[in-house]
Amino acid sequence: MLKGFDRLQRELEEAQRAMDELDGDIGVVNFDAQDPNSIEVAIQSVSQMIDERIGRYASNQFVAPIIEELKEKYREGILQKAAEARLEGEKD
Amino acid sequence: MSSDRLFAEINNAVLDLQAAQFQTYERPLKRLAQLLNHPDLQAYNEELKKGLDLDEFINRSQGTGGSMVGSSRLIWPDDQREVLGLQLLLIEKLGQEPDYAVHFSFQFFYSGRKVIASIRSLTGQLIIPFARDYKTFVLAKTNTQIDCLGASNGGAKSQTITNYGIFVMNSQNVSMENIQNLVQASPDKAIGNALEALATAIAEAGLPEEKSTEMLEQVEVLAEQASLAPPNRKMGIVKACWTQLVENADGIAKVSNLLREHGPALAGFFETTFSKFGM
Repeated sequence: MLKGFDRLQRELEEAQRAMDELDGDIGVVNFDAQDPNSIEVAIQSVSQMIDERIGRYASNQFVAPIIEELKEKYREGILQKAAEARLEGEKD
Repeated sequence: MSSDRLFAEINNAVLDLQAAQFQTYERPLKRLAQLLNHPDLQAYNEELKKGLDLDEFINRSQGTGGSMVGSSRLIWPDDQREVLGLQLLLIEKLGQEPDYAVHFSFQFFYSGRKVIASIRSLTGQLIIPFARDYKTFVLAKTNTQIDCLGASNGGAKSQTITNYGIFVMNSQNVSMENIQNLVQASPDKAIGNALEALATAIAEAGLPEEKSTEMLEQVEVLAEQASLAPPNRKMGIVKACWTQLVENADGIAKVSNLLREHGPALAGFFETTFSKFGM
């Protein structure tokens, strides 16, 4: 029981460290909104940035889902930004 | 259909597939297969597919897998034309049988338990590079004179380089750095600069920490809104709110100036009030 509690506490502390390391600027990607390949490279770059920052905590039960959520969130963000840029381009 | 128009439509189908979810991937995949089957491309397709056997390729590749899910790998030939031809045959098959796309991507592009993750992996690693190489192949054959930009982006009118800043706020802690990141992403520089100046003025006004944090949090919320692109709809309350925000850069600048001038007095007021009411 105590062993399980210790483990939980250790994981929570580790998760807190991961969150501290994640806080703030992660990076910037540039892409051509018309080019699927360029968008894909940007998505992979963001994924790598997140892995570089907190990937070493991937086995932590609290951090693992956050890593996936962040990657998904920024993937959606890039695709959304690309779609908006294309719409803007069509107006011009 | 002109080749520019055809490749622009192929590019659009690939973009749609890239952004698709599990419920929506079938339509762009079918559309892509239809476009690749366009009569204008028949001669090139026949050349690419000549002498190739997709089933034999898949069967051979399936033999590479062990008992683990997703351990199979595709055994591509060395000849680039054959690679392109097999990819073309494969996309045709996936377009005709979208359910097979799930099975195929799970087997050869496994990327976790989520089905859409494997479809995305298939799209990123096979379909997107294919669309690029296929266009290069066809245009080289037709010797069509297009600019190098068109060659890379499906004949789109112009290249649109977009910046996307990644910053994470994982706590309620508001920071000047977060606000600066947000305002830099703002498409309207005037509102971005005004919000940054306001945040600086609040931070330097000497206010009690709780009050300063509370005010900065509110600026951060505004900065988050300003960092977004304008809503697409021309009319509507959301667009009106956004416009109201970005058109108020002057008003925000005035508040910043007032804070700079009267910050110490304001700080004294808050301190007195806080201590009086035990806050």
